[in-house]
Amino acid sequence: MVNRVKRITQPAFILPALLLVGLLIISSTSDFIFGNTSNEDPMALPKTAPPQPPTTSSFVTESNLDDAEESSRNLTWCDVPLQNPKLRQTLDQFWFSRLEEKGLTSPEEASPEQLLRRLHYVVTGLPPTPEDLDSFLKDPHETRWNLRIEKLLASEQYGVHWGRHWLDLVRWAETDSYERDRLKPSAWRYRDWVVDAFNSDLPYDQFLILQLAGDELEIESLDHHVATGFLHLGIRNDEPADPKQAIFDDLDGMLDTTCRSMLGISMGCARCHDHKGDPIPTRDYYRMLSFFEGLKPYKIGGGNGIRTTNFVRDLPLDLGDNKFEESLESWKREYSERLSEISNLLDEVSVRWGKETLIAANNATFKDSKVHLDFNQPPSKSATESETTPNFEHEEFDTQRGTGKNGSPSLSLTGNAYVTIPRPVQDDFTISFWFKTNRLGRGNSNDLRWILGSGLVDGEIPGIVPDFGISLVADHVCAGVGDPEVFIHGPGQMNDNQWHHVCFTRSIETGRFALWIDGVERSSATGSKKSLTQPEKLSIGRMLPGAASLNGEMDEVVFWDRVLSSREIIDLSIGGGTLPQHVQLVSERLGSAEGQRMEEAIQRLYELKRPTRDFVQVLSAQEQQNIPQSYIRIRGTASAPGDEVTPGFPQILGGADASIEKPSDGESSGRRLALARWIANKENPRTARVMTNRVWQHVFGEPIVPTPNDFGTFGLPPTDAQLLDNLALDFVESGWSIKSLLRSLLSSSMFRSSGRFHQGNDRTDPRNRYNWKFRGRRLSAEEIRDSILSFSGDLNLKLGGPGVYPLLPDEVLATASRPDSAWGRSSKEDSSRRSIFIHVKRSLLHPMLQAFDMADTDNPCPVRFNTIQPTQALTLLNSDFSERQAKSFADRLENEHSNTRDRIRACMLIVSQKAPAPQRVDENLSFFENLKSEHDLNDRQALEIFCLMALNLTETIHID
Amino acid sequence: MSLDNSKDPAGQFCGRTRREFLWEAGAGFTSLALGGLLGQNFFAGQSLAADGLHSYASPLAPNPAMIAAKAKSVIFLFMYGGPSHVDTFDYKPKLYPLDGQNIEVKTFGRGGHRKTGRVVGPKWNFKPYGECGKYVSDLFPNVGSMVDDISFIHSMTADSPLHGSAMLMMNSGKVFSGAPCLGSWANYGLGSLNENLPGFVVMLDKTGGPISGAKNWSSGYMPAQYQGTVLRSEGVPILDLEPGQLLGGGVQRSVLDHLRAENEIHAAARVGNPDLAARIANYELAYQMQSSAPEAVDIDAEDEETKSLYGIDRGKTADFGRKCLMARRLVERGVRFIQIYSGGNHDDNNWDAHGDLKFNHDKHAGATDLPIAGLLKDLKRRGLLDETLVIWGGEFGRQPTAEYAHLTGRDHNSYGFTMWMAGGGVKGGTSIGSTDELGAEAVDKPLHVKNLHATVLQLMGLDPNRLSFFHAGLEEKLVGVEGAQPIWDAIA
Repeated sequence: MVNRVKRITQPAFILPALLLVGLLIISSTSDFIFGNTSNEDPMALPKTAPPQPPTTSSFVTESNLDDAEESSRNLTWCDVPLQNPKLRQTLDQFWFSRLEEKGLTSPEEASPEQLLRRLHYVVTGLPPTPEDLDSFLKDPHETRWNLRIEKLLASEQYGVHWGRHWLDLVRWAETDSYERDRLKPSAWRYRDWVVDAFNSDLPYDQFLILQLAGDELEIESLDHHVATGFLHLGIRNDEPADPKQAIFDDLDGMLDTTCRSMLGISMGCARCHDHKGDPIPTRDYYRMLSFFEGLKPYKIGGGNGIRTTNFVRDLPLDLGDNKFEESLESWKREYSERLSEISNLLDEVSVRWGKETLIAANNATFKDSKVHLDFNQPPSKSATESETTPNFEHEEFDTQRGTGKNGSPSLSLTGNAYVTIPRPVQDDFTISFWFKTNRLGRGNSNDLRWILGSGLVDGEIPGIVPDFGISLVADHVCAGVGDPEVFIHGPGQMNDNQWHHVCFTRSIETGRFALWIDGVERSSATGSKKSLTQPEKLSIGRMLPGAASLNGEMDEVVFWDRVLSSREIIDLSIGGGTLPQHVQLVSERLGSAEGQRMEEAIQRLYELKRPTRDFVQVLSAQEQQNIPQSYIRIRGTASAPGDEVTPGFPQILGGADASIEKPSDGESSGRRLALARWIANKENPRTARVMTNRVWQHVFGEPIVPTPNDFGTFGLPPTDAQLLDNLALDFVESGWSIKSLLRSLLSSSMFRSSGRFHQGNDRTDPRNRYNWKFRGRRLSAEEIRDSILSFSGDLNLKLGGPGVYPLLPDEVLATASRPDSAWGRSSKEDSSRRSIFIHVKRSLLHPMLQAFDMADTDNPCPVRFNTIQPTQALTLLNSDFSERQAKSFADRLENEHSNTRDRIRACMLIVSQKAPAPQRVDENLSFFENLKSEHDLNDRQALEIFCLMALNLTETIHID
Repeated sequence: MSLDNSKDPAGQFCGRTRREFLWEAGAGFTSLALGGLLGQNFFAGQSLAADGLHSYASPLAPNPAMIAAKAKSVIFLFMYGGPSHVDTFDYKPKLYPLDGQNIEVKTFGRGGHRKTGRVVGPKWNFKPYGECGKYVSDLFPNVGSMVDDISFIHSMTADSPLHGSAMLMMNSGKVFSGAPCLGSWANYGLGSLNENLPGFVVMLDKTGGPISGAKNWSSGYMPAQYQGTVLRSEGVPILDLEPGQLLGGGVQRSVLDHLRAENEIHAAARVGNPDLAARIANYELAYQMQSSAPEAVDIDAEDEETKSLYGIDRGKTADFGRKCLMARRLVERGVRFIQIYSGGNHDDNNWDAHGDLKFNHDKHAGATDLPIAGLLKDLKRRGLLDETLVIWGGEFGRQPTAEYAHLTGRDHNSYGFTMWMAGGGVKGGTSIGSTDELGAEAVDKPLHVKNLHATVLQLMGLDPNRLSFFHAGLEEKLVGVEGAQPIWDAIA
């Protein structure tokens, strides 16, 4: 029987992997740390450093290494603290000395065109434009290179490109996978946060802390919460056979992603097994897992529901900025001053001329109301008459009397009671009422469609028809007219057991409807302009279909068949006192000066705008109040707890217990913050090395440690540990500035070296171990699509916002279980945005990005595959996208150039960012002419085909 | 420390440690199609891999089998939604008289865990077929006629009775998404016998894909070559296979010739980069696929008798029949793994009979019985059945009891269900394992999805407990780290 070991690896590792055979042999026969590597060998791994002063560090240091015998046995180079060497060398010093030692000829510098193209793609993922090229070539100064680096690092497209590298590591996607593949609410905000973080060069240590524990920091800001979306990006089974296990699977995803992306450790195998010799015992795994066990679970119990309220919440955009609170306070103060000015005047009238004097004025607004329900009469199922609702019928079911706002009876509802009345309005109208409750309405605040709530005043009919209604969804008053997708809502926390005034207006002419809460217009929208002639009865306190009833009190429900003025609505909300009738009364009784004063007070009242703040939905960390005890889970089975564990760090990294401080806001345990601070610590031997290696990887095409997510035992050793350590130290000392690290790499001679083959060097170092040539590469999936869009000028560089939906072929949609509703639709402009902004739906991925090896959405992806498969050729040749872009490219060439030769030349220049030699232009021109004659085409047709050909050139999708 | 953590002699390969070899051998990845397609002079001087030592190998080129192979190809007839075993192939005579009675029975399905339920007696009669006398229900009279070639596995179990995770499990062995599917593993292990066609092909129902869509044929953490290609039974079979408006009418060949000339100039200036040559070859491979794929699925080339055998001349069976016939043609052309879905979308568009069992199963069995039997017969008479493994089944079975108070529908059942295999080294006329007399739970020789997967790999000549892919620090296997035995009783 032949034993087969399958060939496999991420291909980008291949070259260094091959280089490493030598090292592997060394490593398999010697101890990496204390080994016999000689000082003369420049590739030697770091030796132990001289003893250092005692430290309280939780990491393995030289001083506590001896004590940590258990740990040291498995300690590899990457778990030894970064040591400041006697001689700090620059990258070029390292590089040149390596070449010299090996007798390799230094490469010449690449051509300016190659360099510019290389630089633009590495920094922004986009090609330089002809103008970029021209200005670069014309700049005679030596500074042009560094200036260009600065310009590109300052471009916001830098963050788009480098943000994508990070998204690969955290398996960012916008849906949950599994049967329903549900949308993760606002997952795009996390994507935008990452892009912004790169653009603002957020120090990398902060970058990590915010993702793990932004919510636990003393300083509050929306971004800090958005960053914790990191914890919610994984696949989530909405209908697991074993819900408890599913919650642990989810936690495992968080831990595994954290460890792989930030520390270069794969913890996965330690979840179930504790093999002898493994550096990560099971106990370490569960100690690490317990940092996350405070988080509220994504689902509770069986069924197919997901508890979104456990990880999604509405937060104000200006969270942490107390300006809003200040301005709200000052508004309240001013508002109540004006109010008391008004009420003082009215009180005076009342005291001197009697209460009755005011009643007529107070009721002015009610005079033309169609229905006024004050609930002062006892409940009745028959027609009732009262002073304020003459000849009006209403029915009540199981309602009770409560105590209304002014001490008079109210309508008391206990969750299944309601009142119906014949619908009194249909075109223009205003509905005003008071309510109070200490309970949440039906639904949740992630979906504020009024039809989902508990009824306040409801005129709903099933189906998409012009109906209307007002309801309480969770703790928000929501309302809408017509299309159920057009809805508005007021602020949250309406379940505070206080009386609130709600007023809803609707105009048939404009279709505008508005929602006022407590005298402030909170929201408006445009809905149906039809006459709302259905249903025949309105329901008060209950939704018609579904029968969700309010649990609380209602009072003073009034309908008008006109849109009340804001002055009238404010009057209602403060219980009377701002109408012309009131002013007139004061003028008549107290004198015109007093009337004038009152009018001014009222005017100022109207002018006072209540400060508003915008709330947005964020995926964020939320912890439970009582965190369950953590256990080892035997064989990874959630329902099989073993020994108790407490939060702590892996043995290979010191094995200390975590010191945890509960944040002062009391909303979380502080566990994640302890983990975050331990990771983002300059003494953590892995963090800086792991990220430095990644930055190197994306600049030079291949990482120094060929297994960027697996440092140490499970991975391969670095090709040049000293170099990595030097760079990592620089990185930490620069204040964890990724841009600074990039600057040092990009400005090096090594980065500018040619990729040209050299016979002699190839003989000495066939694997290019010492970087005697720059490694060219194929562009990534996103780079290819974005470049093609940019050639035609269609590329839309807009940043941020919800994902976009470029047109997908019907064949692709047909693979979804619900082909008709599987994908959205975006405008042409949005469809032409950079690929990072395409909505990432786990079960329906963009076919072109997939063909070119986009990152797997379900596992952290440290290095993209680099496959060559027929699908790629078929996509670039035959897809609708290629064809559309070829035509658009031809439009551009026709607009910008008047003759065929110039167009051909420009096409070649745009795709390669290099002026083609005249002879090459001639050759392509003759292809063009042959194409025309052989296939009987006109210039335009041939130009489109030529453009399509150009998109398919190897030169177009490869950089040197 | 030592990277050579494998003390097992099996961990040695060509004098190197296992992991060294893994990393090194990956060099083959970027060089698809060079070996066979372009033996031209252009590459003669460069036909070594980047290490300067090894010649190129296509990752999809045929690999020698690890063990003696019995099956070259697999056709997996996926009855999405979960067919009821007690109404199809698992005869339960005692269930009929219990119809309508409430009994104690432990079930777990969409409706959660239950201890009692109302029995729904099987809605079809069973009768014996073939020399083996296997009882098959009236839903599958045509498949019944082939029982002597079939091995029935009645004691299947799965980890989940819920579609989302159960589908993933049946296709990839894991209840999580992100792992490669059975078809990916087969191609990864064996390579393709025909580079002009995809090695892993999926045909979907007209009503749409199964839930989780492309996750069911994803290559997960493996590269994209190994993911399933969706093949359509009508029109252009593969996405973007045919030239669009610009490259139609022969223009494409002119463009390809020019592209090749341009790309060769580009590559010539970049000696030492094998990728570039592979990319040139790749365009030729795509070009060949454009003619070979439509030819492969051109069932009009078949005679009327054959079409009739598959039920293509009958409305009800025409669609599934076309797909089965296409599958046979693909097998003849060396495609490794073909999956055909019976049922798509949601509710009664697939076998998920929660409401009216009779309506649902009459519909889906009616559409598939004749084509499946036709496929088996056709493979057999052409001598292909011996090397083609045909698998039938869904992600789970169904419960003996009703889901709702008044309907005949059954809820999901992963405690026990039936799948069958035919051809490809399978011992025909056998029945393995059994469920209890209600069909509620596997009692005799319970088998897991992993055992089924292990059997498939074993029959294809791959050692299920050795075939691994190094991913994130683990030697991942289709059958999981703990491994699984093939169902030896089913193997001839």
